[in-house]
Amino acid sequence: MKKKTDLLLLLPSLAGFLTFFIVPFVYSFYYAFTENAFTKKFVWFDNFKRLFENEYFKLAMKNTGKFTVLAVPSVMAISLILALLLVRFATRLPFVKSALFLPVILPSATIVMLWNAYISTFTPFHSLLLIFLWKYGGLNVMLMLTALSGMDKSMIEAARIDGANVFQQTVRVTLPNIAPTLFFTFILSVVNSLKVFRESYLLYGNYPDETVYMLQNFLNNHFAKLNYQYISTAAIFFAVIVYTVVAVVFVAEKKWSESIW
Amino acid sequence: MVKKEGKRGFFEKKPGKKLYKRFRKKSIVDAAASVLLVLFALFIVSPVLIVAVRSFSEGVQPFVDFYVWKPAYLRGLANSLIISLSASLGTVVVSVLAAYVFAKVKFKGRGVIFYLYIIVMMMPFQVTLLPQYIVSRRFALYDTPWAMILPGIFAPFAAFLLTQVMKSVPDELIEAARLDTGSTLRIIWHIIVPTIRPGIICALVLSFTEQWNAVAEPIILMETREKYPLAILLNEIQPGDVLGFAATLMFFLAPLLLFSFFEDEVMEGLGDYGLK
Repeated sequence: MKKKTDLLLLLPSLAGFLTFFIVPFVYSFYYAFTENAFTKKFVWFDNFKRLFENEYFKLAMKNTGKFTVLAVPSVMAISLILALLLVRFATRLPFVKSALFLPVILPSATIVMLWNAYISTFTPFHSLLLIFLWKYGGLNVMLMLTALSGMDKSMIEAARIDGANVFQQTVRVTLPNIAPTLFFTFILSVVNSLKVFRESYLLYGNYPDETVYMLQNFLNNHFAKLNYQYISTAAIFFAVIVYTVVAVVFVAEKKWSESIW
Repeated sequence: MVKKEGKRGFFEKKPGKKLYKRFRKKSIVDAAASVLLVLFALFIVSPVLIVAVRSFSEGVQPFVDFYVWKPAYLRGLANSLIISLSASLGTVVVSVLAAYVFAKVKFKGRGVIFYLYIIVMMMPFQVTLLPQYIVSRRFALYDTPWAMILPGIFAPFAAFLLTQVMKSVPDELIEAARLDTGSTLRIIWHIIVPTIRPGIICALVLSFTEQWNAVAEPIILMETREKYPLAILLNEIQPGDVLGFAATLMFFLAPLLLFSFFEDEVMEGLGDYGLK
């Protein structure tokens, strides 16, 4: 197993990964801190300042934030309840298990087609929220279900013998046990909630209703103007927020599962 | 079920009566929960059923229209197939090799590089889109299928998933194979690939659907209408148009077939995905 040449096998993947993701990402930092592509003047945080004063950026951040804050807890709660129910029936109702996964592979265009034809009575914001729950609820249930069925049953049995009721068993034993999976699905849900632009674009195009003007709409419209500075500044600011959330949740999850054991 | 109840009864003071009550209450709750789950599954599946029924509501005419009168859609379908197949096959090949190194070869910096993959994997596409755009401009990939295919091949998702899967391959198996051949590539091809087949298929199916369903990337990375994948073109069909339902059905046929064919593998592979 200790063969020096084996390391070469990583090379194709790593080279492409660096070329298409890491190096250009570093490059976008350069854009974020320079005046424009011609003068190449280093301007510290001027681009950020200008960005925060932009009305549309503020609107986009507000809508994106509002959507994620509403969508992620809802999808987590619904899928956790369904997973806890389903873990008892997984073997008896295999149909349900396959059905749950269907939305993940189903193209957004399909949903949007139906949404337009039948269910356009909701506000744009609520439409997107419902589509999000429909689309990613199943995936979360699947992941939680795998963790739940892999759990050691004797621990729950022990808690039950000690007199814990079903609610206590769930909160004190089951949930801390699947904490890593919960953390993982939470992060996945956050990232997926930012992907809702797909449905938004297919439903409402480049210039949607003000309530669903998301960050991606802002970026798209600036792509049209080839405004690298704005796009990279917005992207970096956005990345900072997302990873702060991830880090906070990560620490919280560590504390939580340690405090129990 | 009944046997389990009997076991529980062992800890009860009055086993007989309580056991009976408990069992009856449980089966009602069970039934209610099953009904709820089946209803939920139907709710989830309903869009597929509606599209299928609607697109056949006027016979096969919409499908004939789709294939014969709308070459634009046919070309879109071909574009989607080319992009999705190349990207998913490519990413699996590159990632199996990388996953072997991540899971089975110890070296300095392995943890750091693997974390970098995870960080980029979690990055919202809003953040990676500009870098992709910059690269596609610089390497003259802009407005060619390669602008989609190459980032698809090197996206970290498959490498991450396959590394998780590869960790479950016993070291002894590889050591034993070492006695027969010195070539790691042959060990990967003959021993490891058959062992982790479900994981590989799972990565393939998920990468394929990811590319197949992409909307934001083609808008940014391409501009010629003839090169657009079908996902973008579907947007332009009038809502309620029967042709639209036929086109939609054709569009999700590929992921649906893939999934129904490889359902067990995808489910098994996803199990490893969740285990971080």
